[in-house]
Amino acid sequence: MQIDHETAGDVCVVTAQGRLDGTTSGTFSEQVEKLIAGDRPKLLVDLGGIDFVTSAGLRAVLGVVKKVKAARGILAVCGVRAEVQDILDITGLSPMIQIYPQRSDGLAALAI
Amino acid sequence: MSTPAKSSAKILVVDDVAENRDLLLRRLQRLGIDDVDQAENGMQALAALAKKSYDLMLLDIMMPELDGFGVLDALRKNGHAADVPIIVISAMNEMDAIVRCIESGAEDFLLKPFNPVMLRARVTSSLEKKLLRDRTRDELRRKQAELNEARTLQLALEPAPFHGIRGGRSISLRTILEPAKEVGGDLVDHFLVGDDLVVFLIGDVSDKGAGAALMMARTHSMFRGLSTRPDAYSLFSDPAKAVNIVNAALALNNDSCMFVTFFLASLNPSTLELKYVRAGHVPPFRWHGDGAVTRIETAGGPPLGLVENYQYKQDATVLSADENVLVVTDGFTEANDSSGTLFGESRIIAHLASASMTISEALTSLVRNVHEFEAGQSQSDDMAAVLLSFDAPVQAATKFEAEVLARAPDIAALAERVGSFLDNAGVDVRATHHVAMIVDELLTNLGTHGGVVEEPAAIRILIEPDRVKVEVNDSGSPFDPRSAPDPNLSTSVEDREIGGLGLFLMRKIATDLYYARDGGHNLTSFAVLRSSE
Repeated sequence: MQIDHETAGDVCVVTAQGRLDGTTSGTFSEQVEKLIAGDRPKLLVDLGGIDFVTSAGLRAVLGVVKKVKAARGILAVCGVRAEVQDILDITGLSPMIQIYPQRSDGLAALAI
Repeated sequence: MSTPAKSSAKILVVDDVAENRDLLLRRLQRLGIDDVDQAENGMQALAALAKKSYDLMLLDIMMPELDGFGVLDALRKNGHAADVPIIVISAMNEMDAIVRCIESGAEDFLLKPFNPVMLRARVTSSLEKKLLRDRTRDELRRKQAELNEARTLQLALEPAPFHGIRGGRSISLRTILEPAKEVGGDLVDHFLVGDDLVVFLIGDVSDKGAGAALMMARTHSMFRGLSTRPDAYSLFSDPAKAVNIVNAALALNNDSCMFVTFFLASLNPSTLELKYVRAGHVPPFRWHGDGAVTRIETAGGPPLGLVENYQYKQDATVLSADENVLVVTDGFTEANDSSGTLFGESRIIAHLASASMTISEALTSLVRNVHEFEAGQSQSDDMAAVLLSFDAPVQAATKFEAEVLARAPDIAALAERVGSFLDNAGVDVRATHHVAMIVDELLTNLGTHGGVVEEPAAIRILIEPDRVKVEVNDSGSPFDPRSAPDPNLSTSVEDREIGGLGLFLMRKIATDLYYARDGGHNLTSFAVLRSSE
């Protein structure tokens, strides 16, 4: 699991790569939560590099979505692979997370 | 004079004339009966009966509101006619009415004016009959409760179906056990000896009912006992050895000459060699996917329990991977229709050969056919059956076997290996992800809730043309993944409970999800469909 971040305007863009499972979900939560700063934070998490997810990984994603909401901010994800999207759909989580096809779509939506 | 029947008797006196009620009350008190209630008409009588249970009702015929006939009719209609014995009270000139009451369910009659001797005789006689009836009913209820409990225990001896991967093959064993009465003498079982010797057995005790049930349970538990001995592999890989031991034990002191027709087989899944002993049992049916049915005829000896030192002979055959084996008891073949015609072996063969039959439904549809054939006749004999089948044979390159300790790093590494294996074998990305994820979820759950697990869990995976089959065998605490509650998926992100998600995913995605607890192990198997792309 590798997590990088950069800033695009007022949006913090997080890039996660690798496997999001019971061994890496803690790192994911910790790293992303560090980036939740200030009032109404905007985060865009690019999951294009995530090729494996388990329920532990989903819980981590759900956890940071809750934290960002609590700070009255927005967390969106982009670049979700079909196999990961499939799991989001089956668990009914898709409607609860803003999901954009490309990073550019996500940035455009969060810029407003 | 007071008898057990009378001293605690509860009596309801129904008469519209107060003097008559008082007179009866005093007479009954003189007989030692103090618990007497009164009603002035039929309506009051029915209301009293609904509130309290009486041992006897003295019922006048001619009354306002509702007369004696009306009370008898009402009791008959609401099904309580047998609950309380009734003596009708009437004048000498009402003999026709008395006859009508007796026909409507009254037990006896008394003439007005009351003769004390007749009253005592009739009341005492009715109460004693009631007491005897109550005792008989209670005894029957107690026996029925015992039988029901015995039935529950007996049905628990039927094993859960086995769906596992052994010797690179997907093997299924399914069973049926249906006693004709509460308990029966048929037995059916299967188990693994060592890791890969698949044993199945079936028997039919030469009788029905409780005695047969005890013999059945003895036979069943003796084979189970042998399967846990250190030399079990030797006993069951040459099954005549196991059969000789049990036969000798059953035959010892068997003065009633009860016996068990019996069939036991052990299968080596790698070679598909089936070694078996048939002891007086209906020859098993063996058939290919194309429907042609043959029989396993070789006799290994007489039924168990008859000849103490008999040395049974085993025979062997090699199955092909598209063959199935069905063994039934004669409850199937000897089921009768209303004209006395037997269901017979030909109907079983026709069922097996029919193109519409699927293996997963083979036993249940066969039982249904038998019951339809009997067409409402009561089931004549116990029915038991065991069915061995293989799913599509697979190439060595498409199987994966590993052992793993249920610790997070090991689980993650295994899930990754599973993913690579399926990916390299050309399984689509979606199915690959599903299988790797479910394996991860199951093992993570085992690590979290399975207790201290020092022993590794065994994972076996087979790639079939249309699906991927997985078996997980672990020694954690008993856990049936089919029974965990679903998480509430309708709540918002804030309220969403996060537990149970992994098992929910598993149940949503997996097909053919099976679970069995056997020998201290959880045996979980499931399949994931491959996409056709």
